[in-house]
Amino acid sequence: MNRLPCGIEKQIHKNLRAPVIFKDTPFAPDQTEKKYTISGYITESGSGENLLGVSVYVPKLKLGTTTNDYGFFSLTLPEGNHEVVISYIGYGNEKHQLTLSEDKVLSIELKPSAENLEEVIVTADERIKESKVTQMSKVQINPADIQDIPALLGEKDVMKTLQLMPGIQGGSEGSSGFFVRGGTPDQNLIILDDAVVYNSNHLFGFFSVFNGDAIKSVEAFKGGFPARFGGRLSSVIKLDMKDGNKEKLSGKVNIGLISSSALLEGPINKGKTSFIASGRRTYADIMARPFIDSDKGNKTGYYFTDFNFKIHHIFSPKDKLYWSNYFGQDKFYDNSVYEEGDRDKSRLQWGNITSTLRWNHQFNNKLFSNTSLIFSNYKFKILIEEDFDDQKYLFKSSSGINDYTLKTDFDYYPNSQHTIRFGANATMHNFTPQRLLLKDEFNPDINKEQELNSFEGAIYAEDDWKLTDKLSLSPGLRLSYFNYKDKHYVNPEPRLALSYNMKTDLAFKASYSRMNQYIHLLSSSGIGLPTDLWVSSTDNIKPQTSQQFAVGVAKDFFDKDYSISLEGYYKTLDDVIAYKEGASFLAIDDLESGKNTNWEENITSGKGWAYGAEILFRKQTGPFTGWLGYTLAWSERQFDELNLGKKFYDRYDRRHDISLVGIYKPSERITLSGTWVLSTGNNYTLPNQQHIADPVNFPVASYPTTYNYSGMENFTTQRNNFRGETSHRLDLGVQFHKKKKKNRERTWGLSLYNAYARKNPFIYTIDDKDYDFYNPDAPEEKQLTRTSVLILIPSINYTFKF
Amino acid sequence: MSKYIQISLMLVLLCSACQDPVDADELLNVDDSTYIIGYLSPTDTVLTVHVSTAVPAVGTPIYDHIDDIGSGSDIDPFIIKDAIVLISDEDDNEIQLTYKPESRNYQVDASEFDIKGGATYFLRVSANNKEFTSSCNIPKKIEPITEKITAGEKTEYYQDYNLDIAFQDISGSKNYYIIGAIAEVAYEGELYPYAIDFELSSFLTDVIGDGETLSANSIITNYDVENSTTAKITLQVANVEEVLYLNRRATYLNDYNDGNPFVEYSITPNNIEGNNGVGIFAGYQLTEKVIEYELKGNP
Repeated sequence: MNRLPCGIEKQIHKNLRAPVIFKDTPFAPDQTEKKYTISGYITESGSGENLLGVSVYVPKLKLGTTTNDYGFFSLTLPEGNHEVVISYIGYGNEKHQLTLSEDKVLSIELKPSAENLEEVIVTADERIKESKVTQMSKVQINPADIQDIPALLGEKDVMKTLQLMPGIQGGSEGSSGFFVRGGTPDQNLIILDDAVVYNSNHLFGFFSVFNGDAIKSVEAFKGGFPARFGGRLSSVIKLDMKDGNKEKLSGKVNIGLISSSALLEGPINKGKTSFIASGRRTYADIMARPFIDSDKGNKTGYYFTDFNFKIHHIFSPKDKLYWSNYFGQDKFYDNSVYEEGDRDKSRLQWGNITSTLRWNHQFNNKLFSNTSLIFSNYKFKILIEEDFDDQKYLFKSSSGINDYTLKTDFDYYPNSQHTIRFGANATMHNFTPQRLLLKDEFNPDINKEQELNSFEGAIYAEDDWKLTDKLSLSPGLRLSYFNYKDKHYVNPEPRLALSYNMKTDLAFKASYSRMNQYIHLLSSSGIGLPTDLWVSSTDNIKPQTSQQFAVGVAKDFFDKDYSISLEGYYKTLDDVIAYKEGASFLAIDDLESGKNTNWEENITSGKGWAYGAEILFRKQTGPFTGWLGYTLAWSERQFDELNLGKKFYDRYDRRHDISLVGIYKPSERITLSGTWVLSTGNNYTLPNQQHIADPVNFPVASYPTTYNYSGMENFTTQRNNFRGETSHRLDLGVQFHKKKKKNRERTWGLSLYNAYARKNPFIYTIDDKDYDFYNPDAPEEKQLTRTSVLILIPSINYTFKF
Repeated sequence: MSKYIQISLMLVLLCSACQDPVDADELLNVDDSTYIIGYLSPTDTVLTVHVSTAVPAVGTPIYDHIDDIGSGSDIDPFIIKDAIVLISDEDDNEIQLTYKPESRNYQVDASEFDIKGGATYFLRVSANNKEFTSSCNIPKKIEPITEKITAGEKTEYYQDYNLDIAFQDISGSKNYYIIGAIAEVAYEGELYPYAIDFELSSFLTDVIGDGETLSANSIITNYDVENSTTAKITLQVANVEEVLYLNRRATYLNDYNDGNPFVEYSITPNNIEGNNGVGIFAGYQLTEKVIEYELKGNP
């Protein structure tokens, strides 16, 4: 396609009414008044990247809209002269004078504000902000902030940044699993370009799988879920990859302490087809190779890698195609060669693959559609091969999930009161809880495979309905369907959100949403190991459901460009699953031994309650940006078969979470950043009492697993009976930028994770006190021991952009 | 393999980890409890109930020296010796158990109080000026146990035999079973008894179907590969009440996973009613079968 010039291009389109109307605007425009539609795409200057969520606003009329996920917008205005303000966080503002006497197509390019630190802060009511949208419980992260916020070992991390937002809590120190409003990690729907990503962790959760360089936008919904989203109870994390630079070849190379990454993007056919490819790999294993005796074939190490690749092709202004792919993998490998030809080999690897083919079609000014064909895969594999004394042993086990999804979504603007979205999706889930091949010379071969196939589908419709100039309502209904063998689940999921503008910049909001979740994660540890297993709802395991009520207030300070939101929520969870007492490790051990167990036997279902309040005070533009978030929360569970049926606080029930984030750019050459977080301790189940061991003989012989020296045995009668100590941590970062010729830029980044070396708890254990050699007759005594990780971790990285 | 993952994870963590003792007083605030344990079965020759004090796990000194009973530590201070322990049946027949210092338990000869299959029994304990109560049902006895032994892995040092045992679940009720076996093998003229390890399949339920055949397997190892010997194997299947099953299983799992911080600690069930009372009072029926099997040598 020939690019439209920066500015305004005229084209005749059908009349399209404005989807948003604000105060002082005649609510129902005079039907005799002539109206014309402005529509088009908003892109990033220099790259042609479509920008989503950009505000298109006419201050005089207080009319506005935002671009959709593909940068498309459409706004109907009365005939006449108008000033249209285009603004987007992290980008400059554009003001356009329009004389509207016919439909117009606009193609607007916005400059990233990093290129323009003198960015004019919006000084008046010129932007659609928090107080002007019906949606609540949603946070957005500017990808540029992810690059600036200090991270562990300099690995810029989307998920860790999200965890600095109120209501989104991280697990223990160092883990990447997160908990939204009292939910569990498997209740978070993480979608990358429409594809579900099942495991968002690298290296047991220390890093997330998303390479921030390739991410264009990050949105997190904690409640008030629009009907277009479903399948998980607690959150939707929507990530969109960049489409690729359509103007020129550009790239970025980042060299860090544990990994390096590279990104290359550019036009294949200028203005029409673009590509973006980015990759990341850790290299501790490669650097360690010289120190390993590799002559004989010995090889050992670990690495993780990510690779993103996307092609965007514009067939015509109305038809666009996107093909995006993600591949990520963690791998442990070990090859050992011994004397006389003995050898062993082991592999442990897990990873995601997603591929999404999307087709945008604009039927007319009123109707925009996207159809996606999606493949998503998660696989965990183990291989052990041994050859000792010519006796061969082979163990291969894998588990995983394959999803094949067809999805279509429509955005429809019938008139100025309604913005309607509707669509449908269908997913074939193919679960492999276990595929096992076991060969040795003493036993018959075991070669078996467990497979669960299920189907998940949904249709939905939602409307953003402006009832009056102050009141807007967003009703939605999602009808979800799930089939496993002869079992069919059909569940209506009503959604409702409303917003009432008490003042131009102050809105009261409320929402209700009901969600169903048909697939579950069996987590063996609670910290998110790759062995955690995704399984389907079955005849016995019912879908999990939740209902959430939320109320809140959103206030924008236009002059200072601050915003503040306060929300309270109450969520009930039904049929949530958990392992039965003591069963948590069985899934793994049985997989190893090839035992034919039924995982359903180890599962029990119960109820949950989560409630709390969140405050977010945020500044998103200017040299100093950042936010203060505070969460007050409770999260409780009750299972008939756990904790003797008594209600208990969830492991990650934390009363207080505070996060303070600041990014300061005093000049183009320097970026200073810091984050401080504080959270109440997690709950742990610890044996807090001891009794005499086996005081009454039970006649069935039992094999002693451990020898008990003291004659005493620890126990507890209460789950999560111990609350750990409060965690807090300060991370600091500084970046030095230098512009070079031909718009090239190099950046040195230094960061300090846990700058004041706080020993935050990772786990607690009860151990014997150290033996006192000087007093051998001293009594034995146990003590509570805290293990802390990640204390004062400095890092350095170098980035070169061209 | 999960062990490898966990070991690797531990290594990663240890690279940057540090361990510190934490003042537990504020964190694990727990009072002493009265610990009561009693198992009843028609095959008992002595009815036994144990009453002692459960103390905080952290900060309680335990003297680790061989005491007069040889239990490995001096647990005597925790024993409650002046409790009143009464067992009664549905017909209000009641018997008091008396404290026996040699077993550190309250006992009475089983001939003085009839324990019958299917009946309900009640426990009343007065200790430390508090009253504790509980009750139990005696489950039905399973019959018969079948077994199969086949030769397994063989090296120059040992010969394994695979032992499979099976029995039929009792129809019409939800049942919980604890499986075990004792092998007595002669080696160099001495008889060595040892418990055969059924691992977690020691604990079986009829969840696979009411009245189905349940089975467990293990390995008997003969280290005297040069001589043939006859092993006397006692196979044991106890049909137990759920609370007993869960209690033994929780204890097994907590021992098995001892020191593994990534496994959630199992909660010990409790059916003792009364202020700060913990423990279980439960019924069981034991079925035993003794077999002899020739462990063949390879001279």
